[in-house]
Order: sequence, then C-alpha cells, then structure tokens
Amino acid sequence: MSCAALDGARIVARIAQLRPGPAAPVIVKASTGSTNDDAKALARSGPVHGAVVLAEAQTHGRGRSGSRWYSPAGENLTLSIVLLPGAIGASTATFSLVVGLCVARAVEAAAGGSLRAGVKWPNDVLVERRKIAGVLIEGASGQGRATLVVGVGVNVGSRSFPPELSELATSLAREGALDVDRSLVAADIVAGVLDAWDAFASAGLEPWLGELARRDALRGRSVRVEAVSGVAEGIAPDGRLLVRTPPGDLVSVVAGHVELLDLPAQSPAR
Amino acid sequence: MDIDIPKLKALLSALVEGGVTEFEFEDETVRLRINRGAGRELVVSAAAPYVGSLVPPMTISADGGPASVPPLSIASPPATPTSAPEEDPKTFFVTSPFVGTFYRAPSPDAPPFVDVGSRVREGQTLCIVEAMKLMNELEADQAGVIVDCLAENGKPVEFGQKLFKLKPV
Repeated sequence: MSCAALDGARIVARIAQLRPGPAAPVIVKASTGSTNDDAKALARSGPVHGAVVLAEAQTHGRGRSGSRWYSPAGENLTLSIVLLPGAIGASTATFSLVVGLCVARAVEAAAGGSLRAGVKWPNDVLVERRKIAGVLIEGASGQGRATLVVGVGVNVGSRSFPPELSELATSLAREGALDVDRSLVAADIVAGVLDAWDAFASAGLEPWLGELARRDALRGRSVRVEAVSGVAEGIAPDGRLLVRTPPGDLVSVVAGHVELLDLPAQSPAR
Repeated sequence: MDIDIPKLKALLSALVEGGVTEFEFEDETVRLRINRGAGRELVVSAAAPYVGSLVPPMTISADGGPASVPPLSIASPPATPTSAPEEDPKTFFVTSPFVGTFYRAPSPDAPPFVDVGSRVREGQTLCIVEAMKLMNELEADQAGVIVDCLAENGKPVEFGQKLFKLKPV
C-alpha cells in the first residue's frame, strides 16, 4: 500500500504548532542509505539541536548491532533526530527508554486510540506482541562535545512482511489504522521526543517510571538476555531490566538484546 | 602477610566512586578479591559469562591463597590498573562513559574501528559502548597511536574503565 508522500513543509508547520519557537531544519529525502548516518553527518558538520532527517526509502536501514531494518519505500516512517546533550553519561542512556514511550504514544495517537502500544525493553514498540516500531540511538562523544542521533522506524502502511517477520512485525495498516498521514505522525514523534528531552534533561527518568511500568510488554514473560534467562520483573528506577532467574536471583540488565522465549522465533530486525 | 589498611581503604573508595562492584588482584605475595554485591542484585550486560551463583555482600579476601575466596559468579572485567609505575607519562587513555557493553566494530561482521598500532586522528571513532540500546561512539580527544586495547569485544565494561591506551603523535 502506498501512502501520500512525506511533505517537509507540513512537517515543519506541525512541529512549529506543537513546539513554538525557533525551527530546526527538517530534511526529507526520497532515498538514502540510513537516516541515522545522514543525521550523524549533519551533527558533525553543523550540529543543530532538533534537526531531523526523514527518508521515503532507506537502502541500509539498520537496528542494533548492524541488523537490517526492513522498510519498503513510501510505506512507512524512518526518521532521525539530532540532539545535543552537552555530555553523554550513565543517565543519558536511560533516555533511550523515554524515546520508546514517545513513539508508543505517537503510534496510539496515529491509530486514533484504537490500539494499545506496549514497550519491550529498552524501546521496541509492540502491538499485541508484534513489533510496530523500533528505535536506534547513536551517540558520539569526545573532544568535550557530544551528539545523539535518535533513529525511529515506524511501520505505517506495510500490509505484508517477509515470511521471517510475518509473525513478529505489524503495522498501523495491519492493525486497522488506514489512511494515516505519515507527515503528521513524523511531526508528532519529533515534537514528542524534543519535549521529552527537555523534561528529561531537568528531571531525569523518574517521572517516566509509571508509564514505563504501564507499557512494559515484558513483565511476567520468559526472556533471555545474552547469558541470562528468567522471568522479566519490571524496570528498575535506573532504567535497567530486572530478570528473576530460576534459582530466584534478581539480575539487573543494562545492555543486550532481549529474546522472548515464548515466541516461535527470534526477530532478525531488532 | 600484612594488609596495608590505608591503601585498602583508598582502593575501596575508588571502587565505590567508580561504581565498580567486583575487583580482583593477584601477584606473588597477595591475592585480593573485593565483591561489593548490592543486596541480591547482579548487574550483567551483553555476553557476560554469568554462571548463576550470586555475589554475597562485601567479601574481602587478602590471605594470599584461595582458601576463603568464594567461587567466581561472574568473570571480572579486565581490572583497571591501580598503579602503573612503568607507565609512560606521555600516554593517555580513553575510558568508558558508563556501564555497558564494549564493541570494537560497528557490527559483528565489520572490521574493528582501530587496532593496536593504528594511527588515529582527533575525533576518529575508536569503539562503541552500548547501554539500553544507546550505541555511543567514543572518539579520540587527540591524535595518537593505539598502544593497547584494554577491553574485550562484546564484553561488559564499567564506568571509567580504561578501554584504549594511546600515545600522542
């Protein structure tokens, strides 16, 4: 299913409506390797907080550890936002969880509230156990400066997926939300992430813990994170995933891909 | 053997400050193992060789032998040297900004960003440290040559842990 083309002017206008003030550049590309790579290049050459790169098609879209992000041209949303955090430390990483919440909110709003979006730690957005959106945040720090590129991929119009993803992925269209205006969803995500960053920069993760718990798609499920297997027991105040192992030990996990042991196969797109 | 209490206290303070929960040191005369288990919680990151038993609250063993040393529950990350008198004062280190997983390459099948002997320019990416799917590229603060890589690909690293030793050029 093909959607109306991304409209840069409408994206800018909508962001300005949601966040009055000076506007950062919004770049819309017909095709690119990866919007994260473009945003990283932008951040290196002339960093502007809130600058956005979107693309109708990505030839080298990727998830964690270089895994491929599947997204046919013109159907979905792939965008990257530049943030300038000043420095990157332990607490910065927890913003990754907040981005998952922002995207979950935008997905629900795009569907007119007809679906419920959960978050699989740290920030995969799921609808009924299927992934509808993914986030990849890439930071760079050194020489006394730091940049963050928040990459977001949302499945909007795709009705079918490759066989290996069919049971693991979904889209707004597949969930019954048709005629979604991708430009508006993009602007909602950008404004949501920028607002969240402002709040996060002053108050940290604490105000988000309630929503993280409400949207936690892992709690009570059998998971494996690298060498640790057990039952997910929620998210700690420092953002780490808590896993209860069979001997009864509580392990807190800071990094690694979470594999769901109650699913038939593991998603190659993560 | 004698334990130098002031030195031990200084070491403990440094470990607490750096958020290091486990530390092991051994030479001809002493074997020291410090375990600052936070209650019944254990921290792991990707590929941690976790074997299932738990760290007890603060255990210090400095008896020169393994008799009272509990079995290792998780392999220690490469210990940060506490003193290095032979260290060339001109060398400098790149350290980890947070607890996470250390990656030498952008993806499992890509070549490493740098190797021992690589000449790097200011701002060049040396590695990635990941926490909560924030992949943070660490860049060289100044131009130099990689003298040593002090962490293992895919393994957990601590806050402040030395990752690379470089010599300025």
